[in-house]
Amino acid sequence: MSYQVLSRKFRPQRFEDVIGQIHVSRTLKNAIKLDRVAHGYIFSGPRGVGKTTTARILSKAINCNELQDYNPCGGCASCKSITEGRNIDVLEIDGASNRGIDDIRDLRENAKYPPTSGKYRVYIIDEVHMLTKEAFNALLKTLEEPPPFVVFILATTDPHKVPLTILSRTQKFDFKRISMADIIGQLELILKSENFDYDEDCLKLIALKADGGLRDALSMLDQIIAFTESRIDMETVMSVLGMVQQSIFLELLDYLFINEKGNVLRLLETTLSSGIAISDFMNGFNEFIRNCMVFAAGGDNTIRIDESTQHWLDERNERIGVVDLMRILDMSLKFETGLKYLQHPRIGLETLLLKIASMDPSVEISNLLQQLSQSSLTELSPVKPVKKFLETKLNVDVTPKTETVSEPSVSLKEVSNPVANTSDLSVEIIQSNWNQFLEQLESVSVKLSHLLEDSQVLSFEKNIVKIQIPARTNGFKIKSLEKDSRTVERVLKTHFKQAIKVKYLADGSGENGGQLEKKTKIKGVEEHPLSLYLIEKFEGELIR
Amino acid sequence: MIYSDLILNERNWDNLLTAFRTGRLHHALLFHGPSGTGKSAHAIELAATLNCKDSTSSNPCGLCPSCKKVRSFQHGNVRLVLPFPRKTNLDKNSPSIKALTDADLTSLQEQMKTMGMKPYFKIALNNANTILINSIRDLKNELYLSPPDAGGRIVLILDAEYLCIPNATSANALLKILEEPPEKTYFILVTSRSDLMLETILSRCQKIYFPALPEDAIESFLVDEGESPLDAHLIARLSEGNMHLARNFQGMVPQLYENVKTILNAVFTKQPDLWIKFHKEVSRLKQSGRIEMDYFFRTGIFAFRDLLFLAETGNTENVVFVDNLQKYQSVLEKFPQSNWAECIQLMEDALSFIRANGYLPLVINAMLMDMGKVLKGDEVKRFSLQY
Repeated sequence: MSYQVLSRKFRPQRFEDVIGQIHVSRTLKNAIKLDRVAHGYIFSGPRGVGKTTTARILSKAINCNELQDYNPCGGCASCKSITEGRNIDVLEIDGASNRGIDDIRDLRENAKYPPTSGKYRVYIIDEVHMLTKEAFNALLKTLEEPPPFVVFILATTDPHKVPLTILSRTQKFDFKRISMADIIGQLELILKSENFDYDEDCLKLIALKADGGLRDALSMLDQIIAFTESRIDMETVMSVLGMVQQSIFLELLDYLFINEKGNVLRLLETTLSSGIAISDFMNGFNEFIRNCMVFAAGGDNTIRIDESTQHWLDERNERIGVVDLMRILDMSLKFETGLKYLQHPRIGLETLLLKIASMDPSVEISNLLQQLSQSSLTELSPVKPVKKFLETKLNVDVTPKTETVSEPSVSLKEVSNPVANTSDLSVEIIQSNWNQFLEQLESVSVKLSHLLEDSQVLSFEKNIVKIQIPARTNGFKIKSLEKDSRTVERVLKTHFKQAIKVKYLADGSGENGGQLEKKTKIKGVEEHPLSLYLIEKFEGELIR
Repeated sequence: MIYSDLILNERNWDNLLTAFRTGRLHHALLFHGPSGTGKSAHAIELAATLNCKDSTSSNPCGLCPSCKKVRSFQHGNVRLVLPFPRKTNLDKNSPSIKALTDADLTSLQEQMKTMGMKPYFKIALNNANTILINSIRDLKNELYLSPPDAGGRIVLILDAEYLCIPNATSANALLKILEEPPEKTYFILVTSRSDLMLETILSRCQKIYFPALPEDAIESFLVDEGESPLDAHLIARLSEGNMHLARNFQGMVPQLYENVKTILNAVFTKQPDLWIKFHKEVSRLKQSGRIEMDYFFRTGIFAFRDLLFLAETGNTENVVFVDNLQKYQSVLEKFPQSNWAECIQLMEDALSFIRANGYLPLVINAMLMDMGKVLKGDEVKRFSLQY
C-alpha cells in the first residue's frame, strides 16, 4: 500500500468528526433518527470543508444496519464496501467528466432498479456545477420524484451555477469555512496520533494560510512533515510555505523611513533570491503593515506582531503615525491587486518601495486643525463632510416644506460658512467664495459650473452681481448662461443667504478681441515645427 | 541525472528526495513560479527518480534503461499532458490525439526529442490554447488500468494553467482523480501562472515554488554556451532569472542597445521623426509576434530602471546597460526633476494597453507625451486597465 496523504487518511467516518459543520451533521442525524431522509440533497461550500466527506458518511448511514448513535458503524459489510468504493448501490459520479445528457440518461435508466443489498441506492454527483444545461434538465423529473429507494446527493463549490429548478427540488446545506481554532484543533489531533513534535505557533501559521480549508491545511502539514524529517518549528514552516520573517519586514520598514534606498533594494534582492515569490512577499508585507497600523492606532494586536516591532513602533511614536502606515498600505494594496497583470512584477515592486521611501511624512490632523484655528476665519474653506452635508441640504431646499425640519443644521452651517454671518455682502466675499460656489453649483448643474469656470466677479451692487465672461466664444456662453440664470440665482441664494441677481458681461475687448486672439493663434500654428514639418512632408500649404 | 546542465534548485530537490525516501511523497504536486526556471525539467528528473533501476544513489542514474526511456519520453509510466489546439468537432469519446494534424504530430515528436536533451526547452504547438477535456478523459481511462512498469506512475501536466483556459472544464474534470488517484500514481502540475488556476485544484496540491534562477547561475550557464562574459552579464540581468528569455536574448546584445537607443531618443528629444521611428518599430514588432514586442518594451523598462536606480542611489552596481552610463549621466543632469518611477509605470501601462489591442499610434503618442510631462516633474493622470 503506497502512502496515503493526511487528508485522505484522516477523512472523517462519523458525523461528529466533520469539524466546523455542526449545523449540517446535526440536521442529517436528526433526519435519520426520525426516518425523514429526503430524496435529494445539495451540499455547497468552499473547497476542503467536508462536502464529499459528509456525502459519503450519509450514504453509509442510511444503508447501515447497525447504526451507532445514528452514525454508520464502519464495520458491517455495507459500510466497509462503501468506504472502499466498491459498493454497487452507492455510485460516486464525477459530474465534471460525465457532464453530458447521455450520462444523465444512463443514470436515469439505472435508477429504476432497486438496490441489491442495502436499503437505498445513493447517487453522489460531485462537482455537479459542471453538468451541461441539457443534463440538468434531463435530471429534473427523476430528481423530483425518484423511486422510493433512491437518494441523490449533489456536491458543488459553485451553487450559483446550478439551475434554480434543481435547487428547489433538493434540500440545500451550506458548508462554512472552518474557523482557525477548529483547524488548529484538528492539526493537533493529527500530529499527536502521528507522533510528531511541533511548536504551537506553527499551527497558527498553517491555519492562517489555509484560509478556512481543512484540506489546504492538511496538504501544507503533509508537505512540512515530508520535507523536514525532524521537529516542526517556525523556521521550516515559514520556508516551506514561502513566508517572510517579520524581522525582515521590520528592517525594510526601518530603511524605508530613514530613506536608505540602496539598502531597501539590497534587502529586497536578498529576500527574493532566497526563494520567496513576489506575491507571497506582498501578501506578507501588507499583513505586516496592517498589523503595525492596528497597533499604532492603539488596537490590541500584540499577538500578531513581535516585541521588537512593537518596540520599534513605540520608539517612533512621535514621527510615524497611523496616517503614514495607512498611506503605505493604500499604495501597496493597490499594487497587490494589479500585480498579476504586470509584465515586470519585480521592477514594479522595486518602484513601489522607492516611491514609499521618498514619501513625505504626513502631518497629524490634530496639528493641522490647530494651525487652522489660529489662522483667520475667512481663509478657512469648508471642511469636506460639511460640504457634503450642504449638498444634500441643497437638494432638500427645492421643496420648501422640509426647510423647517432641518433646523439644527442651520447652526452648523453658520459656523462652517463664513459668509452666513455677514448680512452685508461685498465683492471681496463673493470673489473669495467663488470657487466654493462653483463646486456647489456643479452638484446642481455641471454644465453651468463649467460655463462659469473662467469667469470673474466684477462688481456687486444693489443685489446684482456682474460676472465677466472671457472673450473666447462668449456670445454663445452668455446666451446659454442667460437661459439658466434662475438656477444660478437659486444656488447663489442658498450659498450666500441672500437673493442675488446675475448679469453677464462680455470681456472688454468683445468680439474684436476674440478675432485678434484667433489671428495670433493662427500665426502660432504657422510657425510651429510640427506644422512646418507636415507642410514640408506633404508639400502642402496652410489654407486657414 | 537526466540533464547534465540543469541548474538544480537544491532546496526543492532535497525536499522532494526526502519526501520520496521517507515514503511521504504527495500524490499531487504543483510546481509553480516564474517561467524559465526549469520546473518541467525538475519534474522529469523526479519521474526518472521514481522509476530508476539503479538504487545506489538517490539521484536518477540517467544510464539505466528506465532513465533512457524517460529521457526519450517512451516510458510507459510517464504520461505527458499538454495544451492542444482546440477542435470543435471532436467527439466526446475520441482520444485527444485526434485534435492534432499530421504536421502538429511531427512537430510534437521533434519537440519532445529536444526536450529530452535540453532542460530549458518549452514544448509549444501551433495554436495550442487549451488542455482538452478529452486529454483528461484519456488519462482517466488509462490510469485505472494497472501500470505497465513497476515504480511510480507520473502524470506530467505542462502549462497547467491551460486547464482553466478558456473555461475550467478540464480542471473540473481532473478534480476527482487528482484528489484520489489510484495507487502509486503521482500528478505533477507545472505552471507559471498559478493565479489563474481554480482554488479547488490548488487546494488538492502540494505547492512547490521555484524562484527565478540566480543571475550568476544564468551568467555562467551562458558563458559555458560560448557567450562573451560582458554580454552574458547583460543578458543575465535583463532576463531576471528566466532562462527562456536568456536563451532568446543570446546574440541579440547589439540589437538590445539599438532598442534602448530608439526608445530613449524618442522620449528625450521631441523630434517627430524619432517618434515615428519608435512607433514604426513597435508596429513592426507587434506584427512579427507579441514576444518580440515584449522584449522591446522590456529593454525600455530596464533602461528607465537604470535611470531610477542611478537617480535614487547613485550606485552603478545595478546598472544593466553598462555602455550607456555616460548617456545616463547627461540625461540625469538634463532632467533633474524627472520622476523615473512614473516613467516605468507609464511604459508598463502602454504595454498592457497594446496587449489589450489598444490603437497603437494613440497609445504610443499618449505615452510619449505623458513621459514628456513626467520628465519636467509634472504630475500625469494615469489610466490603467487593472484598477
